[in-house]
Amino acid sequence: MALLRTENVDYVYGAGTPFVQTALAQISFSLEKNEFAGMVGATGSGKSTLIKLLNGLLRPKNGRVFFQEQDIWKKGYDLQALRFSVGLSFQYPEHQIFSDTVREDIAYGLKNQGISEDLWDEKIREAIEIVGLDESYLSKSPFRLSGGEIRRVALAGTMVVKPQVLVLDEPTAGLDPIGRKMVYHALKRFQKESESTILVVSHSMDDVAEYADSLIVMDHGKIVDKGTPAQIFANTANLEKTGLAVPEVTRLLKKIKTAGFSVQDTIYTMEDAKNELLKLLKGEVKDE
Amino acid sequence: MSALIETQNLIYRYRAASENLLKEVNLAFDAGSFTVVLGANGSGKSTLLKHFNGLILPTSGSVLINSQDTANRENWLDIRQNVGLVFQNPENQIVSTIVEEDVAFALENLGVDRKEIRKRVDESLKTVGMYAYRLHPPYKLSGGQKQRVAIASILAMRPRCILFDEATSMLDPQGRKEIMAIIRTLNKQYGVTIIMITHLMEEVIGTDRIVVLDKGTVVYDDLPQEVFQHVEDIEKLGLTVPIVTKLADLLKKEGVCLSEDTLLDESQFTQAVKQYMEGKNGTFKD
Ligand SMILES: Nc1ncnc2c1ncn2[C@@H]1O[C@H](COP(=O)(O)OP(=O)(O)OP(=O)(O)O)[C@@H](O)[C@H]1O
Ligand SMILES: Nc1ncnc2c1ncn2[C@@H]1O[C@H](COP(=O)(O)OP(=O)(O)O)[C@@H](O)[C@H]1O
Ligand SMILES: [Mg+2]
Ligand SMILES: [Mg+2]
Repeated sequence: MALLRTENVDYVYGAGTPFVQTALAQISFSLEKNEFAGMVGATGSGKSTLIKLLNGLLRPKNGRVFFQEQDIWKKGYDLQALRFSVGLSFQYPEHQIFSDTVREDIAYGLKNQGISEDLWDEKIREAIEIVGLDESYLSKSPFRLSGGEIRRVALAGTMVVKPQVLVLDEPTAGLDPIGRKMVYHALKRFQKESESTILVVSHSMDDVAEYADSLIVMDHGKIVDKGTPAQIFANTANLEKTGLAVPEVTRLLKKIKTAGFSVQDTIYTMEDAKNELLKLLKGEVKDE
Repeated sequence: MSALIETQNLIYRYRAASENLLKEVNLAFDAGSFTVVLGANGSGKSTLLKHFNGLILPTSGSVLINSQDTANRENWLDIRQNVGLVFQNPENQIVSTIVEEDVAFALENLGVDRKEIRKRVDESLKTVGMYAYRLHPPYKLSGGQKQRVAIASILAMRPRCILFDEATSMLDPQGRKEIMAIIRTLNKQYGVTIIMITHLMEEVIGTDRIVVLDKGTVVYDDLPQEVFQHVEDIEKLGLTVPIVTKLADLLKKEGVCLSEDTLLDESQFTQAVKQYMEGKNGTFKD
Protein backbone atom coordinates (compact mmCIF):
# COMPACT_ATOMS: atom_id res chain seq x y z
CA MET A 1 0.00 0.00 0.00
CA ALA A 2 1.38 3.35 -0.98
CA LEU A 3 1.66 5.93 1.79
CA LEU A 4 1.22 8.90 -0.47
CA ARG A 5 0.15 8.84 -4.10
CA THR A 6 -1.36 10.84 -6.91
CA GLU A 7 -3.68 9.53 -9.59
CA ASN A 8 -3.75 11.20 -13.01
CA VAL A 9 -3.14 14.63 -11.61
CA ASP A 10 -3.17 17.73 -13.84
CA TYR A 11 -2.23 21.18 -12.69
CA VAL A 12 -2.66 24.39 -14.63
CA TYR A 13 -1.52 27.87 -13.59
CA GLY A 14 -3.42 30.95 -14.70
CA ALA A 15 -6.44 29.12 -16.07
CA GLY A 16 -8.67 31.58 -17.94
CA THR A 17 -5.86 34.13 -18.48
CA PRO A 18 -3.63 34.63 -21.54
CA PHE A 19 -0.80 33.14 -19.52
CA VAL A 20 -2.32 29.75 -18.93
CA GLN A 21 0.45 27.27 -18.22
CA THR A 22 0.09 23.52 -17.82
CA ALA A 23 2.57 22.61 -15.11
CA LEU A 24 1.62 18.96 -14.63
CA ALA A 25 -0.12 16.51 -16.90
CA GLN A 26 -1.43 13.09 -15.92
CA ILE A 27 0.89 12.50 -13.02
CA SER A 28 0.52 9.18 -11.25
CA PHE A 29 3.14 8.63 -8.67
CA SER A 30 3.52 6.97 -5.30
CA LEU A 31 5.74 6.94 -2.27
CA GLU A 32 6.03 3.84 -0.10
CA LYS A 33 6.49 3.98 3.62
CA ASN A 34 10.17 4.35 4.57
CA GLU A 35 11.27 5.08 1.00
CA PHE A 36 13.99 7.64 0.28
CA ALA A 37 13.15 9.01 -3.13
CA GLY A 38 14.89 11.64 -5.20
CA MET A 39 13.19 13.79 -7.81
CA VAL A 40 15.17 15.38 -10.61
CA GLY A 41 14.17 17.44 -13.61
CA ALA A 42 15.03 20.60 -15.47
CA THR A 43 13.87 24.01 -14.30
CA GLY A 44 10.17 24.40 -14.98
CA SER A 45 9.52 20.67 -15.30
CA GLY A 46 6.94 20.85 -12.51
CA LYS A 47 8.77 19.55 -9.44
CA SER A 48 7.83 22.36 -7.07
CA THR A 49 4.25 22.23 -8.27
CA LEU A 50 4.00 18.49 -7.67
CA ILE A 51 5.40 18.86 -4.22
CA LYS A 52 2.84 21.46 -3.27
CA LEU A 53 0.09 19.11 -4.38
CA LEU A 54 1.34 16.44 -2.01
CA ASN A 55 0.39 18.24 1.16
CA GLY A 56 -2.64 20.02 -0.19
CA LEU A 57 -1.11 23.46 -0.71
CA LEU A 58 -2.34 23.34 -4.30
CA ARG A 59 -5.50 21.66 -5.48
CA PRO A 60 -5.25 19.65 -8.71
CA LYS A 61 -7.43 20.59 -11.63
CA ASN A 62 -8.08 16.96 -12.38
CA GLY A 63 -7.04 13.76 -10.66
CA ARG A 64 -6.74 12.81 -7.04
CA VAL A 65 -4.19 12.83 -4.23
CA PHE A 66 -4.26 10.11 -1.57
CA PHE A 67 -2.57 9.97 1.81
CA GLN A 68 -2.91 6.60 3.51
CA GLU A 69 -5.41 5.80 0.78
CA GLN A 70 -7.67 8.69 1.80
CA ASP A 71 -8.57 11.23 -0.88
CA ILE A 72 -7.29 14.50 0.58
CA TRP A 73 -9.83 16.61 -1.34
CA LYS A 74 -12.83 14.62 -0.18
CA LYS A 75 -15.28 16.69 1.85
CA GLY A 76 -14.45 16.65 5.54
CA TYR A 77 -10.83 15.53 5.10
CA ASP A 78 -8.58 17.16 7.69
CA LEU A 79 -6.05 19.07 5.59
CA GLN A 80 -4.48 20.60 8.67
CA ALA A 81 -3.63 17.14 9.99
CA LEU A 82 -2.24 16.21 6.57
CA ARG A 83 0.15 19.15 6.74
CA PHE A 84 1.43 17.88 10.09
CA SER A 85 2.04 14.45 8.59
CA VAL A 86 3.60 15.67 5.37
CA GLY A 87 6.26 18.25 6.19
CA LEU A 88 7.33 20.50 3.36
CA SER A 89 10.54 22.47 3.10
CA PHE A 90 10.39 25.11 0.39
CA GLN A 91 12.85 25.86 -2.35
CA TYR A 92 13.36 29.40 -1.07
CA PRO A 93 13.83 29.15 2.69
CA GLU A 94 13.25 32.86 3.29
CA HIS A 95 9.61 32.18 2.50
CA GLN A 96 9.15 30.01 5.53
CA ILE A 97 10.84 32.29 8.04
CA PHE A 98 8.64 34.67 10.06
CA SER A 99 9.84 34.99 13.63
CA ASP A 100 12.10 37.32 15.58
CA THR A 101 14.45 34.64 16.76
CA VAL A 102 15.73 31.40 15.37
CA ARG A 103 14.36 29.60 18.41
CA GLU A 104 10.83 30.90 17.87
CA ASP A 105 11.07 30.01 14.25
CA ILE A 106 12.00 26.41 14.91
CA ALA A 107 9.39 26.21 17.67
CA TYR A 108 6.63 27.35 15.33
CA GLY A 109 5.72 23.85 14.18
CA LEU A 110 5.90 22.46 17.70
CA LYS A 111 3.50 25.14 18.90
CA ASN A 112 1.17 24.55 15.98
CA GLN A 113 0.92 20.89 16.74
CA GLY A 114 0.27 21.55 20.39
CA ILE A 115 3.39 19.78 21.60
CA SER A 116 3.98 20.41 25.29
CA GLU A 117 6.38 23.27 25.94
CA ASP A 118 8.40 21.15 28.35
CA LEU A 119 9.63 19.17 25.38
CA TRP A 120 10.54 22.09 23.14
CA ASP A 121 14.04 22.81 24.38
CA GLU A 122 15.27 19.32 23.85
CA LYS A 123 13.67 18.97 20.43
CA ILE A 124 14.96 22.36 19.30
CA ARG A 125 18.46 21.57 20.48
CA GLU A 126 18.41 18.30 18.62
CA ALA A 127 17.12 19.92 15.42
CA ILE A 128 19.67 22.72 15.42
CA GLU A 129 22.48 20.25 16.00
CA ILE A 130 21.32 18.07 13.11
CA VAL A 131 21.73 20.96 10.68
CA GLY A 132 25.15 21.84 12.02
CA LEU A 133 24.47 25.06 13.92
CA ASP A 134 25.25 25.63 17.60
CA GLU A 135 22.93 26.93 20.30
CA SER A 136 24.29 30.47 20.06
CA TYR A 137 22.13 30.81 16.94
CA LEU A 138 18.86 30.31 18.84
CA SER A 139 18.69 33.88 20.10
CA LYS A 140 19.68 35.44 16.77
CA SER A 141 17.29 37.07 14.33
CA PRO A 142 16.74 34.86 11.30
CA PHE A 143 16.84 37.96 9.13
CA ARG A 144 20.44 38.55 10.08
CA LEU A 145 21.83 35.26 8.93
CA SER A 146 23.80 34.25 5.86
CA GLY A 147 22.04 32.39 3.05
CA GLY A 148 23.30 29.00 4.15
CA GLU A 149 22.44 29.66 7.79
CA ILE A 150 18.84 30.55 6.87
CA ARG A 151 18.59 27.33 4.89
CA ARG A 152 19.78 25.37 7.91
CA VAL A 153 17.25 27.07 10.19
CA ALA A 154 14.42 26.35 7.76
CA LEU A 155 15.43 22.70 7.58
CA ALA A 156 15.58 22.47 11.36
CA GLY A 157 12.07 23.91 11.49
CA THR A 158 10.78 21.25 9.12
CA MET A 159 12.56 18.37 10.80
CA VAL A 160 11.82 19.31 14.41
CA VAL A 161 8.24 18.01 14.26
CA LYS A 162 9.35 14.70 12.73
CA PRO A 163 6.63 14.40 10.11
CA GLN A 164 5.82 10.98 8.67
CA VAL A 165 6.71 12.21 5.23
CA LEU A 166 9.40 14.79 4.67
CA VAL A 167 9.33 16.57 1.34
CA LEU A 168 12.25 18.88 0.62
CA ASP A 169 12.59 21.17 -2.38
CA GLU A 170 16.26 21.75 -3.17
CA PRO A 171 17.27 21.43 0.48
CA THR A 172 21.01 21.81 -0.05
CA ALA A 173 21.10 24.72 -2.49
CA GLY A 174 23.27 27.36 -0.86
CA LEU A 175 24.78 25.01 1.67
CA ASP A 176 28.53 24.61 1.91
CA PRO A 177 29.93 21.14 1.16
CA ILE A 178 29.99 20.04 4.78
CA GLY A 179 26.45 21.32 5.24
CA ARG A 180 25.22 19.24 2.31
CA LYS A 181 26.75 16.15 3.79
CA MET A 182 25.29 16.85 7.21
CA VAL A 183 21.81 17.36 5.84
CA TYR A 184 21.83 14.14 3.84
CA HIS A 185 23.25 12.18 6.75
CA ALA A 186 20.57 13.64 8.98
CA LEU A 187 17.86 12.68 6.50
CA LYS A 188 19.22 9.16 6.20
CA ARG A 189 19.31 8.83 9.99
CA PHE A 190 15.84 10.27 10.25
CA GLN A 191 14.55 7.80 7.67
CA LYS A 192 15.97 4.87 9.61
CA GLU A 193 15.16 5.95 13.16
CA SER A 194 11.66 7.31 12.59
CA GLU A 195 10.82 4.99 9.69
CA SER A 196 9.83 8.10 7.81
CA THR A 197 9.47 8.62 4.11
CA ILE A 198 11.58 11.18 2.32
CA LEU A 199 11.26 12.89 -1.03
CA VAL A 200 14.07 15.19 -2.04
CA VAL A 201 13.99 17.42 -5.09
CA SER A 202 17.52 18.20 -6.16
CA HIS A 203 19.58 19.48 -9.04
CA SER A 204 22.59 17.73 -7.63
CA MET A 205 22.75 14.34 -9.27
CA ASP A 206 25.74 13.45 -7.16
CA ASP A 207 23.76 13.94 -3.97
CA VAL A 208 20.58 12.08 -4.92
CA ALA A 209 22.64 9.31 -6.48
CA GLU A 210 24.51 8.78 -3.26
CA TYR A 211 21.54 8.84 -0.89
CA ALA A 212 18.25 7.98 -2.62
CA ASP A 213 16.84 4.46 -3.04
CA SER A 214 14.81 5.48 -6.05
CA LEU A 215 14.74 8.34 -8.52
CA ILE A 216 11.92 10.03 -10.40
CA VAL A 217 12.77 12.02 -13.52
CA MET A 218 10.43 14.86 -14.50
CA ASP A 219 10.29 16.54 -17.88
CA HIS A 220 7.76 19.10 -19.10
CA GLY A 221 5.14 18.28 -16.51
CA LYS A 222 5.43 14.52 -16.88
CA ILE A 223 7.23 11.70 -15.13
CA VAL A 224 9.49 10.29 -17.83
CA ASP A 225 11.58 7.80 -15.89
CA LYS A 226 11.59 6.00 -12.57
CA GLY A 227 14.00 3.51 -11.06
CA THR A 228 17.08 2.94 -8.95
CA PRO A 229 19.95 5.39 -9.44
CA ALA A 230 21.92 2.73 -11.33
CA GLN A 231 19.03 2.18 -13.74
CA ILE A 232 18.56 5.89 -14.33
CA PHE A 233 22.23 6.70 -14.83
CA ALA A 234 22.77 3.83 -17.24
CA ASN A 235 21.01 5.88 -19.87
CA THR A 236 23.05 9.06 -20.22
CA ALA A 237 21.45 10.15 -23.47
CA ASN A 238 17.96 9.96 -22.04
CA LEU A 239 18.89 12.12 -19.07
CA GLU A 240 20.70 14.69 -21.13
CA LYS A 241 17.66 15.08 -23.36
CA THR A 242 15.77 16.37 -20.32
CA GLY A 243 18.48 18.91 -19.47
CA LEU A 244 20.06 16.79 -16.75
CA ALA A 245 23.43 15.16 -16.39
CA VAL A 246 24.74 11.97 -14.88
CA PRO A 247 26.78 12.34 -11.66
CA GLU A 248 30.35 13.49 -12.09
CA VAL A 249 31.93 10.18 -11.10
CA THR A 250 29.72 8.34 -13.58
CA ARG A 251 30.77 10.76 -16.32
CA LEU A 252 34.42 10.31 -15.41
CA LEU A 253 34.20 6.51 -15.59
CA LYS A 254 32.39 6.67 -18.90
CA LYS A 255 35.19 8.85 -20.21
CA ILE A 256 37.85 6.43 -19.02
CA LYS A 257 35.96 3.57 -20.60
CA THR A 258 35.73 5.49 -23.88
CA ALA A 259 39.49 5.95 -23.71
CA GLY A 260 39.75 2.17 -24.03
CA PHE A 261 39.94 0.87 -20.48
CA SER A 262 37.70 -1.78 -19.09
CA VAL A 263 35.83 -0.17 -16.19
CA GLN A 264 32.24 -0.44 -15.19
CA ASP A 265 30.51 2.85 -16.00
CA THR A 266 27.25 2.60 -14.07
CA ILE A 267 28.98 3.55 -10.85
CA TYR A 268 27.82 6.72 -9.13
CA THR A 269 29.42 6.95 -5.70
CA MET A 270 32.92 8.08 -4.86
CA GLU A 271 33.67 4.93 -2.88
CA ASP A 272 32.68 2.59 -5.73
CA ALA A 273 34.56 4.70 -8.23
CA LYS A 274 37.69 4.48 -6.13
CA ASN A 275 37.44 0.71 -5.89
CA GLU A 276 36.73 0.30 -9.57
CA LEU A 277 39.74 2.44 -10.48
CA LEU A 278 41.97 0.59 -8.03
CA LYS A 279 41.03 -2.65 -9.75
CA LEU A 280 42.14 -1.15 -13.06
CA LEU A 281 45.25 0.62 -11.84
CA LYS A 282 46.55 -2.06 -9.49
CA GLY A 283 45.29 -4.90 -11.64
CA GLU A 284 47.25 -7.50 -13.56
CA VAL A 285 49.07 -6.23 -16.60
CA LYS A 286 47.31 -7.02 -19.84
CA ASP A 287 48.87 -9.64 -22.11
CA GLU A 288 49.76 -7.97 -25.35
CA MET B 1 48.06 49.75 -13.64
CA SER B 2 45.83 50.17 -10.64
CA ALA B 3 43.26 47.52 -9.79
CA LEU B 4 39.60 47.85 -10.68
CA ILE B 5 38.60 46.87 -7.16
CA GLU B 6 40.80 47.18 -4.13
CA THR B 7 40.25 46.78 -0.41
CA GLN B 8 42.58 48.36 2.10
CA ASN B 9 42.56 46.94 5.63
CA LEU B 10 38.86 46.33 5.26
CA ILE B 11 37.17 45.61 8.57
CA TYR B 12 33.46 45.07 8.88
CA ARG B 13 31.19 44.49 11.84
CA TYR B 14 27.42 44.14 11.66
CA ARG B 15 25.68 46.50 14.07
CA ALA B 16 24.01 43.63 15.92
CA ALA B 17 27.25 41.68 16.22
CA SER B 18 29.71 41.61 19.09
CA GLU B 19 32.82 41.08 17.01
CA ASN B 20 34.32 41.96 13.65
CA LEU B 21 33.23 39.75 10.80
CA LEU B 22 35.72 40.81 8.13
CA LYS B 23 39.18 41.17 9.61
CA GLU B 24 41.72 43.29 7.73
CA VAL B 25 40.94 42.11 4.24
CA ASN B 26 43.41 43.31 1.61
CA LEU B 27 42.54 42.22 -1.88
CA ALA B 28 42.94 43.67 -5.35
CA PHE B 29 41.14 42.63 -8.53
CA ASP B 30 42.49 43.69 -11.90
CA ALA B 31 40.19 44.68 -14.74
CA GLY B 32 39.39 41.60 -16.81
CA SER B 33 40.24 39.06 -14.12
CA PHE B 34 38.11 36.10 -13.03
CA THR B 35 38.04 35.17 -9.36
CA VAL B 36 36.07 32.60 -7.40
CA VAL B 37 35.44 33.16 -3.69
CA LEU B 38 34.98 30.06 -1.54
CA GLY B 39 34.18 29.68 2.15
CA ALA B 40 31.86 27.92 4.59
CA ASN B 41 28.37 29.24 5.33
CA GLY B 42 28.73 32.38 7.39
CA SER B 43 32.40 32.97 6.56
CA GLY B 44 31.67 36.45 5.20
CA LYS B 45 31.62 35.98 1.41
CA SER B 46 28.37 37.84 0.72
CA THR B 47 29.33 40.57 3.14
CA LEU B 48 32.62 41.03 1.31
CA LEU B 49 30.95 41.12 -2.11
CA LYS B 50 28.42 43.72 -1.01
CA HIS B 51 31.35 46.03 -0.28
CA PHE B 52 32.38 45.90 -3.92
CA ASN B 53 29.43 47.87 -5.19
CA GLY B 54 28.99 50.02 -2.13
CA LEU B 55 25.91 48.20 -0.89
CA ILE B 56 27.60 48.23 2.49
CA LEU B 57 30.47 50.38 3.69
CA PRO B 58 33.50 49.30 5.72
CA THR B 59 33.50 49.77 9.49
CA SER B 60 37.11 50.78 9.01
CA GLY B 61 39.58 50.67 6.14
CA SER B 62 38.44 51.40 2.61
CA VAL B 63 37.20 49.95 -0.65
CA LEU B 64 38.19 51.57 -3.93
CA ILE B 65 36.38 50.95 -7.20
CA ASN B 66 38.28 52.33 -10.14
CA SER B 67 40.17 54.38 -7.52
CA GLN B 68 36.90 55.83 -6.23
CA ASP B 69 36.24 55.38 -2.53
CA THR B 70 32.88 53.69 -1.86
CA ALA B 71 32.51 55.75 1.30
CA ASN B 72 32.17 58.89 -0.80
CA ARG B 73 28.53 59.47 -1.69
CA GLU B 74 29.44 61.31 -4.89
CA ASN B 75 30.91 58.12 -6.32
CA TRP B 76 27.87 55.97 -5.77
CA LEU B 77 26.20 56.39 -9.13
CA ASP B 78 29.43 55.59 -10.98
CA ILE B 79 30.08 52.61 -8.77
CA ARG B 80 26.60 51.15 -9.19
CA GLN B 81 26.92 51.43 -12.95
CA ASN B 82 30.36 49.92 -13.04
CA VAL B 83 29.70 47.01 -10.72
CA GLY B 84 26.58 44.87 -10.92
CA LEU B 85 25.58 42.30 -8.35
CA VAL B 86 23.55 39.19 -9.08
CA PHE B 87 22.17 37.58 -5.95
CA GLN B 88 21.48 34.03 -4.86
CA ASN B 89 17.72 34.41 -4.83
CA PRO B 90 16.11 35.91 -7.90
CA GLU B 91 12.82 36.60 -6.09
CA ASN B 92 14.22 39.62 -4.31
CA GLN B 93 15.63 41.17 -7.46
CA ILE B 94 12.56 41.32 -9.61
CA VAL B 95 10.54 44.52 -9.36
CA SER B 96 8.30 44.76 -12.42
CA THR B 97 5.25 42.91 -13.62
CA ILE B 98 6.62 42.10 -17.07
CA VAL B 99 9.98 40.51 -17.82
CA GLU B 100 11.24 43.10 -20.29
CA GLU B 101 10.20 45.97 -18.04
CA ASP B 102 12.24 44.43 -15.34
CA VAL B 103 15.31 44.30 -17.52
CA ALA B 104 14.70 47.92 -18.61
CA PHE B 105 14.05 49.19 -15.09
CA ALA B 106 17.53 50.34 -14.12
CA LEU B 107 18.22 51.79 -17.57
CA GLU B 108 15.06 53.86 -17.37
CA ASN B 109 16.15 55.15 -13.99
CA LEU B 110 19.43 56.22 -15.52
CA GLY B 111 17.64 58.07 -18.32
CA VAL B 112 19.03 55.98 -21.17
CA ASP B 113 17.15 56.71 -24.39
CA ARG B 114 14.28 54.48 -25.54
CA LYS B 115 15.94 53.01 -28.61
CA GLU B 116 19.07 52.10 -26.74
CA ILE B 117 17.00 50.55 -23.96
CA ARG B 118 15.10 48.40 -26.47
CA LYS B 119 18.34 47.21 -28.02
CA ARG B 120 20.02 46.36 -24.76
CA VAL B 121 16.97 44.66 -23.29
CA ASP B 122 16.59 42.40 -26.32
CA GLU B 123 20.29 41.61 -26.40
CA SER B 124 20.45 40.78 -22.73
CA LEU B 125 17.36 38.59 -22.82
CA LYS B 126 18.73 36.70 -25.82
CA THR B 127 22.05 36.18 -24.08
CA VAL B 128 20.35 34.40 -21.18
CA GLY B 129 17.86 32.56 -23.38
CA MET B 130 14.76 34.35 -22.08
CA TYR B 131 13.81 36.43 -25.11
CA ALA B 132 10.75 34.29 -25.76
CA TYR B 133 9.51 35.18 -22.29
CA ARG B 134 9.94 38.94 -22.62
CA LEU B 135 6.24 39.64 -22.21
CA HIS B 136 5.63 37.20 -19.36
CA PRO B 137 4.99 38.30 -15.80
CA PRO B 138 8.12 37.30 -13.83
CA TYR B 139 6.17 35.82 -10.93
CA LYS B 140 4.91 33.12 -13.25
CA LEU B 141 8.39 31.91 -14.06
CA SER B 142 10.05 29.11 -12.16
CA GLY B 143 13.10 29.88 -10.04
CA GLY B 144 15.71 29.19 -12.67
CA GLN B 145 13.95 31.27 -15.27
CA LYS B 146 13.71 34.19 -12.87
CA GLN B 147 17.40 34.01 -12.21
CA ARG B 148 18.14 34.33 -15.90
CA VAL B 149 16.01 37.48 -16.00
CA ALA B 150 17.90 38.89 -13.03
CA ILE B 151 21.17 38.30 -14.84
CA ALA B 152 19.78 39.96 -17.97
CA SER B 153 18.86 43.04 -15.93
CA ILE B 154 22.46 43.38 -14.84
CA LEU B 155 23.84 42.71 -18.31
CA ALA B 156 21.70 45.54 -19.69
CA MET B 157 23.71 47.96 -17.58
CA ARG B 158 26.91 46.90 -19.35
CA PRO B 159 28.95 47.03 -16.19
CA ARG B 160 32.75 46.64 -16.07
CA CYS B 161 32.49 44.12 -13.31
CA ILE B 162 29.78 41.66 -12.32
CA LEU B 163 29.63 40.04 -8.93
CA PHE B 164 27.77 36.76 -8.71
CA ASP B 165 26.63 35.60 -5.29
CA GLU B 166 25.76 31.94 -5.85
CA ALA B 167 23.85 33.01 -8.92
CA THR B 168 23.55 29.47 -10.26
CA SER B 169 22.68 27.70 -7.03
CA MET B 170 19.00 27.38 -7.96
CA LEU B 171 19.44 26.33 -11.59
CA ASP B 172 19.31 22.86 -13.11
CA PRO B 173 22.54 21.39 -14.53
CA GLN B 174 21.74 22.58 -18.03
CA GLY B 175 20.86 26.07 -16.79
CA ARG B 176 24.04 26.16 -14.75
CA LYS B 177 26.14 25.22 -17.72
CA GLU B 178 24.47 27.93 -19.79
CA ILE B 179 24.94 30.61 -17.17
CA MET B 180 28.54 29.58 -16.55
CA ALA B 181 29.15 29.76 -20.30
CA ILE B 182 27.63 33.26 -20.34
CA ILE B 183 29.81 34.32 -17.43
CA ARG B 184 32.96 32.98 -19.13
CA THR B 185 32.04 34.67 -22.41
CA LEU B 186 31.47 37.98 -20.68
CA ASN B 187 34.90 37.66 -19.14
CA LYS B 188 36.85 36.36 -22.15
CA GLN B 189 35.19 38.24 -25.00
CA TYR B 190 34.07 41.44 -23.37
CA GLY B 191 36.69 41.71 -20.66
CA VAL B 192 34.13 42.00 -17.89
CA THR B 193 35.75 41.46 -14.51
CA ILE B 194 34.10 38.58 -12.67
CA ILE B 195 34.05 37.84 -8.96
CA MET B 196 31.91 34.87 -8.16
CA ILE B 197 30.86 33.10 -4.98
CA THR B 198 29.95 29.45 -5.32
CA HIS B 199 29.66 26.25 -3.30
CA LEU B 200 29.83 24.14 -6.45
CA MET B 201 33.29 22.92 -7.24
CA GLU B 202 32.55 22.18 -10.88
CA GLU B 203 32.18 25.93 -11.38
CA VAL B 204 35.67 26.59 -10.14
CA ILE B 205 37.39 24.86 -13.04
CA GLY B 206 39.00 27.28 -15.45
CA THR B 207 39.26 30.32 -13.17
CA ASP B 208 42.51 32.21 -12.69
CA ARG B 209 42.23 32.67 -9.00
CA ILE B 210 40.57 31.34 -5.88
CA VAL B 211 40.13 33.31 -2.69
CA VAL B 212 39.13 31.27 0.37
CA LEU B 213 37.57 32.96 3.38
CA ASP B 214 37.46 31.48 6.84
CA LYS B 215 35.66 33.42 9.60
CA GLY B 216 36.23 36.70 7.80
CA THR B 217 39.91 36.16 7.04
CA VAL B 218 41.47 35.38 3.67
CA VAL B 219 43.23 32.03 4.15
CA TYR B 220 44.08 31.23 0.51
CA ASP B 221 44.52 33.46 -2.51
CA ASP B 222 46.06 31.43 -5.30
CA LEU B 223 45.66 29.38 -8.48
CA PRO B 224 43.12 26.50 -8.27
CA GLN B 225 45.80 23.82 -8.58
CA GLU B 226 47.69 25.35 -5.67
CA VAL B 227 44.66 25.74 -3.40
CA PHE B 228 43.24 22.27 -4.10
CA GLN B 229 46.43 20.40 -3.36
CA HIS B 230 45.66 20.98 0.32
CA VAL B 231 42.80 18.49 0.39
CA GLU B 232 42.69 17.98 4.16
CA ASP B 233 43.03 21.64 5.07
CA ILE B 234 40.27 22.56 2.65
CA GLU B 235 38.01 19.91 4.16
CA LYS B 236 38.73 21.19 7.65
CA LEU B 237 37.28 24.52 6.54
CA GLY B 238 33.96 22.78 5.74
CA LEU B 239 34.75 22.87 2.04
CA THR B 240 35.69 20.28 -0.50
CA VAL B 241 37.93 19.93 -3.52
CA PRO B 242 36.63 19.06 -7.02
CA ILE B 243 35.46 15.44 -7.29
CA VAL B 244 38.29 14.48 -9.63
CA THR B 245 40.86 15.96 -7.25
CA LYS B 246 39.30 14.07 -4.35
CA LEU B 247 39.34 10.79 -6.24
CA ALA B 248 43.01 11.22 -7.16
CA ASP B 249 43.74 11.92 -3.50
CA LEU B 250 41.89 8.77 -2.36
CA LEU B 251 43.83 6.70 -4.89
CA LYS B 252 47.09 8.17 -3.65
CA LYS B 253 46.22 7.03 -0.13
CA GLU B 254 45.85 3.52 -1.57
CA GLY B 255 49.31 3.76 -3.05
CA VAL B 256 48.42 4.80 -6.58
CA CYS B 257 49.86 8.17 -7.50
CA LEU B 258 48.36 9.18 -10.82
CA SER B 259 50.15 12.49 -11.10
CA GLU B 260 52.41 14.83 -9.17
CA ASP B 261 50.22 17.77 -10.22
CA THR B 262 46.78 18.47 -8.80
CA LEU B 263 44.22 16.98 -11.18
CA LEU B 264 41.24 19.28 -11.62
CA ASP B 265 39.07 18.01 -14.45
CA GLU B 266 37.99 14.81 -16.17
CA SER B 267 40.30 15.23 -19.15
CA GLN B 268 43.35 15.64 -16.96
CA PHE B 269 42.30 12.64 -14.92
CA THR B 270 41.71 10.41 -17.94
CA GLN B 271 45.04 11.48 -19.41
CA ALA B 272 46.77 10.60 -16.14
CA VAL B 273 45.11 7.17 -16.11
CA LYS B 274 46.38 6.57 -19.66
CA GLN B 275 49.93 7.54 -18.76
CA TYR B 276 49.86 5.45 -15.60
CA MET B 277 48.68 2.36 -17.47
CA GLU B 278 51.20 2.86 -20.25
CA GLY B 279 53.96 3.23 -17.71
CA LYS B 280 52.87 0.06 -15.97
CA ASN B 281 52.60 -1.99 -19.15
CA GLY B 282 55.93 -0.54 -20.28
CA THR B 283 57.90 -1.54 -17.17
CA PHE B 284 56.66 -5.09 -17.40
CA LYS B 285 57.43 -5.39 -21.08
CA ASP B 286 61.17 -4.84 -20.91
N1 LIG C 1 22.43 41.89 8.98
C1 LIG C 1 23.23 41.16 9.75
N2 LIG C 1 23.38 41.44 11.06
C2 LIG C 1 24.20 40.70 11.83
N3 LIG C 1 24.90 39.63 11.41
C3 LIG C 1 24.80 39.30 10.12
C4 LIG C 1 23.95 40.04 9.23
N4 LIG C 1 24.05 39.46 8.00
C5 LIG C 1 24.90 38.42 8.13
N5 LIG C 1 25.35 38.32 9.40
C6 LIG C 1 26.29 37.31 9.91
O1 LIG C 1 27.57 37.51 9.31
C7 LIG C 1 28.18 36.27 8.98
C8 LIG C 1 28.61 36.27 7.51
O2 LIG C 1 27.47 36.39 6.68
P1 LIG C 1 27.60 36.32 5.08
O3 LIG C 1 26.22 36.46 4.55
O4 LIG C 1 28.62 37.27 4.61
O5 LIG C 1 28.14 34.81 4.90
P2 LIG C 1 28.44 33.96 3.59
O6 LIG C 1 29.88 33.61 3.62
O7 LIG C 1 27.94 34.65 2.40
O8 LIG C 1 27.60 32.63 3.90
P3 LIG C 1 26.70 31.68 2.94
O9 LIG C 1 27.63 30.69 2.31
O10 LIG C 1 25.81 30.97 3.92
O11 LIG C 1 25.97 32.54 1.99
C9 LIG C 1 27.16 35.18 9.31
O12 LIG C 1 27.55 34.50 10.49
C10 LIG C 1 25.85 35.91 9.53
O13 LIG C 1 25.10 35.31 10.55
N1 LIG D 1 2.77 30.67 -9.52
C1 LIG D 1 2.84 30.32 -10.82
N2 LIG D 1 2.05 30.92 -11.74
C2 LIG D 1 2.11 30.56 -13.04
N3 LIG D 1 2.94 29.61 -13.54
C3 LIG D 1 3.74 28.98 -12.69
C4 LIG D 1 3.76 29.30 -11.28
N4 LIG D 1 4.67 28.51 -10.67
C5 LIG D 1 5.20 27.74 -11.65
N5 LIG D 1 4.66 28.01 -12.86
C6 LIG D 1 4.98 27.36 -14.13
O1 LIG D 1 4.71 25.96 -14.00
C7 LIG D 1 5.76 25.19 -14.57
C8 LIG D 1 6.38 24.29 -13.51
O2 LIG D 1 7.05 25.08 -12.56
P1 LIG D 1 7.71 24.52 -11.24
O3 LIG D 1 6.77 23.57 -10.60
O4 LIG D 1 8.16 25.68 -10.43
O5 LIG D 1 8.94 23.72 -11.84
P2 LIG D 1 10.32 23.25 -11.16
O6 LIG D 1 10.15 23.28 -9.68
O7 LIG D 1 10.51 21.88 -11.70
O8 LIG D 1 11.37 24.20 -11.63
C9 LIG D 1 6.72 26.17 -15.21
O9 LIG D 1 6.40 26.28 -16.57
C10 LIG D 1 6.45 27.47 -14.48
O10 LIG D 1 6.73 28.55 -15.32
MG1 LIG E 1 11.27 24.31 -8.26
MG1 LIG F 1 26.23 34.29 1.14
